[in-house]
Amino acid sequence: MNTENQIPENTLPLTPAVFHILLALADADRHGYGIMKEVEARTEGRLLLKPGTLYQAISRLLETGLIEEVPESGDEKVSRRRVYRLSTSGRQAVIAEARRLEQMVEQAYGKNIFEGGKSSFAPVS
Amino acid sequence: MRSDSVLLEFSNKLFRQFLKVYPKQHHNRFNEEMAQDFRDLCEEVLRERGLWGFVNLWISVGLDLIKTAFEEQFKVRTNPALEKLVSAGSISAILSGAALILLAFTHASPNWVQWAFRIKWIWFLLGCLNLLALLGYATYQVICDKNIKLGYWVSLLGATFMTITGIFMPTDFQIWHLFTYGVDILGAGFLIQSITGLVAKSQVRWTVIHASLGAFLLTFNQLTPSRHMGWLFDWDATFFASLAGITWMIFGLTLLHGREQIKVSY
Repeated sequence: MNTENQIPENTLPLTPAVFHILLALADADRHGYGIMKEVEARTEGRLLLKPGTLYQAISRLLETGLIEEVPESGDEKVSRRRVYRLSTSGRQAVIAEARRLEQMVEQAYGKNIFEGGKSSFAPVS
Repeated sequence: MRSDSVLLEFSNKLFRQFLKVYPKQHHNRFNEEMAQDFRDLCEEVLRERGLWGFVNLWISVGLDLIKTAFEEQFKVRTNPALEKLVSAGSISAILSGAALILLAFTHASPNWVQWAFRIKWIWFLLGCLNLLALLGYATYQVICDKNIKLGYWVSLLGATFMTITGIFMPTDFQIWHLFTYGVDILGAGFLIQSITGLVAKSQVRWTVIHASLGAFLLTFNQLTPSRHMGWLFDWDATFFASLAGITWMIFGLTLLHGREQIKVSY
């Protein structure tokens, strides 16, 4: 079965912001602020999602069904924050995008643009 | 510390005012979450980077807010109009299909020429309906970020040809041949669309099935000897033209259904 069939049409390629949001939800359900902080920590501060961009992307992702809102439990009603999780199609989309990016990087390696090969990508200690 | 809390309170109130520039639906849905996130962000920045960091945050968040609010407003204001255009296009395709079936049967009657020519402007209307259908289809394609390929332009050329020749149809019988060439071009355009769609594997859906069948039927109908050899094969032509009309109607229904997919891509 082709799992990419579950990805809604016109969602790929993903923008960097959307890709990082989906990636943030890949290992845990999070609220908006949690997504913001996870992306900031993972990208070492290189990508700072502002509320406008974040909730615009969340709105689109909810519309296309790539993410879902986690139903509120009794305790969480105290907080006004909504928690989001990755849907099955969202997981497929982030996998497909990661593969697409991997292929692009492989092509870049194939052109020998890095003098030190793949190791030149390693962080400087 | 007291001055920080006053600043945060003022900042939060101001941010809530700015959030009102978003469309009502977006505002109602995300207003609380955005305000809460921004307040937490402000607290953190003020604590770790001081006043200068706080000012920087306000500038970057403010600019981001203006940009996204404009995009959301644009989406809310333009999408319904575009949706209506796609709806009009799909209804036109359905009507055009129905008209094609009607004309096919008039073609089969012994006095079809006289019968059909009495209905002035029907040919012109048929061309217009085709143009509107293709315009709706193009809108759908553009909104859904698909490319408009060669086949579409050929179809558009065919429909334009039909429309122009349709104007003169009631007064000039010779124009009929030109009109049928317009139908040929329309059919060929559909054929190219279906082939390119299948090659790209991007449109393997009802649209392609319609396009393949419609192209075959329209083109084959025009290639039957009936156009050149009297009325011997009239019923064949009627049959194929009717089926072509049905595929047009299916296309219209598909477009009507596809209208739901209209969203601004991210």
